[in-house]
Amino acid sequence: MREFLRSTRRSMTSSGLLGLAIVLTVVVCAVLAPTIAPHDPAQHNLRMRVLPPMWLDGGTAAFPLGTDQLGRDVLSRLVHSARVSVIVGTLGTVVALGIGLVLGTVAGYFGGAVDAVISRVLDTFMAIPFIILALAVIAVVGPQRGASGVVLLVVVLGVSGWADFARVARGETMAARTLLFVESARALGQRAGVILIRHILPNIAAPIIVLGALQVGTVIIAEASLSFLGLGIQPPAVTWGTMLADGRGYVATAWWLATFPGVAITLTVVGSVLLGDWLRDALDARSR
Amino acid sequence: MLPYILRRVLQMIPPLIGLTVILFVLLRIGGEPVAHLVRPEASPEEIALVRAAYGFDRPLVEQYVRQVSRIIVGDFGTSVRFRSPALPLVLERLPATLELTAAALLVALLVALPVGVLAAVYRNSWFDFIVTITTTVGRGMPNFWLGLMLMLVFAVQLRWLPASGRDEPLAVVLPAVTIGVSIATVLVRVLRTAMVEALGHDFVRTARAKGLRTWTVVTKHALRTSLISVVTVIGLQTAWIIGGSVVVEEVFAWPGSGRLMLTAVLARDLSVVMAGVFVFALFVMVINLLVDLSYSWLDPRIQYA
Repeated sequence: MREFLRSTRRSMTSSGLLGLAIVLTVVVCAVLAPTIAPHDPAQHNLRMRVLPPMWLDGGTAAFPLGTDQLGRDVLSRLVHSARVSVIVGTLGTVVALGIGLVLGTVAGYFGGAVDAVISRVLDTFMAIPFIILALAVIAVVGPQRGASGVVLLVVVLGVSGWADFARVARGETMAARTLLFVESARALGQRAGVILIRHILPNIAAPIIVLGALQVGTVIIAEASLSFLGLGIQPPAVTWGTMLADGRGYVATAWWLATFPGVAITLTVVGSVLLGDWLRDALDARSR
Repeated sequence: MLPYILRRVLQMIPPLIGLTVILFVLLRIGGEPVAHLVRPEASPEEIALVRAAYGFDRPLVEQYVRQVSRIIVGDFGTSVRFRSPALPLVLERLPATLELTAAALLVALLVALPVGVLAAVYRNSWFDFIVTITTTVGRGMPNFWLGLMLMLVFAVQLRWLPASGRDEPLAVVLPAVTIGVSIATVLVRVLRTAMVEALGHDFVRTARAKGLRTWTVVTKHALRTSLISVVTVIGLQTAWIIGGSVVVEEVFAWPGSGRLMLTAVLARDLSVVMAGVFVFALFVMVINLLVDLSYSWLDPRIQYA
């Protein structure tokens, strides 16, 4: 572990640091949203409708990024939106990672008919665009409100996004399977489950973790897209996607409503991508 | 070549079967669709009658086989909203989607080829640095938001281009640029890496040594071998591109299959949704087939037995 930390420090590049800083900021916003947001994100204030950001004429420091068509504070809504993105982004990735890891390692380890079946399923899921599959599931189940809406999105995005994890886990397991200590463990008569968890999993963890860091960004964009289309998180819950959907109608009159949520999404995803790229380089360097 | 194509087409059958299973399971998650077919106050006998009429009382395997046999002849059921068969509805809007996808690909290549090549030739220059930053930001940008921003600038502020629809010939520009730019951010990175590697190869040094002009070496020798990775990435990205274009179609009110599918999802018009999923997945498979076939054309060393 100490060795890992040392190599981590050595290879911590400026872009990796930037990514880490962005991701930490978003997570802090998500956790402390009620404390750091200057206003209640749902507070209507009809006298303060459609105020521009503070640096423009008519803007006020009380609403640094302006207000929307109902007089709600844009900054507070942005900060609160981080919650849904962080929760859906991480849990959606964890679900996808879990499904992909189990199916991929099983296919790679046992090979034969098991591999053939899982691989065909994999081919099928690779051919269906992520968002389109998610749309189809939502069409059948219907968009949900409140907490069950978040659960639905996590499940939908997890079930639609596992294919990449399974593909990588399968390939890595097939390679790890031929390692000498895995073969000896098998020769000693250890059970497949034990070998998979004790010996193979630690050896295939690195690429899976990297893929996970990158997938968080993909899931966040997918959540934003679905919420933007009115099929994800439902109002009154606030997310960057629903903010964009609201702001879309005011593109001509209040540009900030459709601009800031997009900046927030872009920054967050870039942060997780930079972190993922850095993780990949760091873990590569360690194995070299 | 022909046997290879045949084998490759046959390989598409298992995923297609998988697709029909997924569609069947999906339709079943929502429960039996009987509820939509009977009056709310229907008696148990009436419900049983309707179930029998639609075959819901048969074993699941038999229902699945029946569904597959209908899909094979292109029957996905009737759209609740349009009151006409679902598949033709999707197919008649497909040309608009294909037009947009092709235009987007054109934009992507027009941007990515020169930028990627120049970034590789002048690597570690300020140009390369700016390209790296731009593509990193581009990776994080949701393309529907980029679309909104382009619409804000070029349609609302400058009034150069139409904001939505497909009535004017120029209407394709904004949605195509939106999708094209997001493809290009990926392609530039891949092309740059491949070009940097290719420029270090012996055959490039030989070409330089025999006195060819730099530009000829770069375009004729290095670029040609690098195109393989570009095409591979286009293939890998197809599913992602198609998914993203659905949202962009909605932003620009582009009357394609994607937008039709979205309105069908909102109206819970399941036959159209399922037909849409099927058509899009088939489209992705065909593109991947074409990508595989293009390899031997791009690199004559690759031969298919």
